[in-house]
Amino acid sequence: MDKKITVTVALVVAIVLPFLIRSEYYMHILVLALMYVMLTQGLNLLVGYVGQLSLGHHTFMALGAYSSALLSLKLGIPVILSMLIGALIAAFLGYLMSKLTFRVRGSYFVILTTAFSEIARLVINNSTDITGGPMGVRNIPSFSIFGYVLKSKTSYYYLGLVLSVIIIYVCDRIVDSKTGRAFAALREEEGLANSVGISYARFAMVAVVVGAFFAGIAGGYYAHYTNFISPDLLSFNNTLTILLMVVIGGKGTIFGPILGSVIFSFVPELLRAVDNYRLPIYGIVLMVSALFMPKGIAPILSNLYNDAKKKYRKNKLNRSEGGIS
Amino acid sequence: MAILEVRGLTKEFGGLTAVNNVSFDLHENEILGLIGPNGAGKTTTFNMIAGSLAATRGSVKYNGVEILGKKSTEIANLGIARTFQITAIFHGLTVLQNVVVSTHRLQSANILDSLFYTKRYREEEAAIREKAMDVLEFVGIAHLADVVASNLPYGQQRLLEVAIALATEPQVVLFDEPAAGLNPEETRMFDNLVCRIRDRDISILMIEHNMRLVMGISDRIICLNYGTLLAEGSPEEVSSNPLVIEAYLGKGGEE
Repeated sequence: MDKKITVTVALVVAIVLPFLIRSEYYMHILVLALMYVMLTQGLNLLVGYVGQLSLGHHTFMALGAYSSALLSLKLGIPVILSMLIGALIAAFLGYLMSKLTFRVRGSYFVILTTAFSEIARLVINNSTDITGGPMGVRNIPSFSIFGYVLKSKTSYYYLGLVLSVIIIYVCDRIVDSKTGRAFAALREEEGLANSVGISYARFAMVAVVVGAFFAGIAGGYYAHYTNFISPDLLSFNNTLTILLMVVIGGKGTIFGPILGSVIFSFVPELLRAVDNYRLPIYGIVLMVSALFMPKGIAPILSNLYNDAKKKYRKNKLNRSEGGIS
Repeated sequence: MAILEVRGLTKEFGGLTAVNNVSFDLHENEILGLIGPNGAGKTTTFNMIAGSLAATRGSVKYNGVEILGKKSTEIANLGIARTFQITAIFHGLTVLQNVVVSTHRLQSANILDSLFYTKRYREEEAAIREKAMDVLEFVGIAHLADVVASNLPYGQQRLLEVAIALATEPQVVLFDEPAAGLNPEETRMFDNLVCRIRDRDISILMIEHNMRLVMGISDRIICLNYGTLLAEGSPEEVSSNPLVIEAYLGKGGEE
């Protein structure tokens, strides 16, 4: 019941938001925040539920972005279709990556996923005749649906909202199913999970492939929104940002990465006022959160909420008891 | 009839033969105790049967089908459950979630069912929760269903391990020192629990150091020493076998 109310309120706020925000610039940040929601939801399946840290998630986003951009630009494929194909290509690459990495865990998994994304970056950077190399891809067609071309930031905001809501819903349902429970079992105790018939190779693959598909969608969304992409998408900075959003927002919860995406899309912008000190402050914020909120922000919020509810109930009980006596 | 036929099971770690040509049967509906001094190869034998360690040679037949060489997940899915020498539970999950997760092999609803919230999904979710509660009731920790597993006292963590194994609806359970670290009171309760598990038509192979427990409830006992099978028979036969006594206490001096 609580969940229903929270979701409804959040949705209403999200729908009304563009009417309250007049600044084009903040609309732009919101669009990026939605893209990050799509990315972090997928990554969270692997990091938060299966419990493996990946530094290669932005690769799938870049792959979705490049595939969709090139397919629509060079072959004239409708954008909706090219985004879908891009996401499928990203998912297929996710499949290959999980097949290559299923034997390793922990830090070795981190190293392999890093290497994997470096390879992708080099390939994209050097395939000048297809990807334009460091020059990037320009003039990518905008997103269009039924002949209606999306131009304004507000329209992209709503497109992003629809995609994000679908992705969040799917992740929520996965987590609440046999598959999601298997993820958690592998995270908690892999040997025991095996002994009840749960295989790491299989479920880590599911998490990676689903996450890669969503990242591919996010990539396509970004490419058709900005109309320009470059190998900067594959910068280490980018992958780190996504990971921080998941971890500091609250990994292993659906709400946490959403919170992380919104906060870490806006924090760097809010700090522009103290421009020179922006990066050091950012760094300190990260260190403090890692030290004092190792589980992220989301669990703290839900604890506060539960405490408040308990207190409220207690008060009510005291009052009614008082009435009887 | 033998539900598990172990023949010539051997494990060599380089030059060291940890388990040497061990053969025995686990009969249907029996409690078979596996004893032996430390380092005798008991857990190694277990790990090979459960598929978490590759055997060097030998054969293990489960209901007449060879299972040696299969992965541990495949063996679990065939209906062989196990517990671990060092307590293994899903620490961060609640007691109920621990058991619900462990019914994995019995669940058939897929992601799509969950996505569209189908009847099959809803019915199955309700059914496995009920089933999980039954199992918790059976081992006696149903009142702790909502406690996070890592907060349980040690004795109840061991009971949760048993619940996890039973949740897979196994035909065979391998217990690796289930009573280690339990106090006498808990051990007595454990006695009773193991017997009740057998009464559910489950065959049990149990490594145990607590002689009173293992001698009291086992139908038969096998004893390993230095990786070889030393003795096999009823608890009385094995406990009076001079080789077994020697393995545990050493040879008498010439005084």
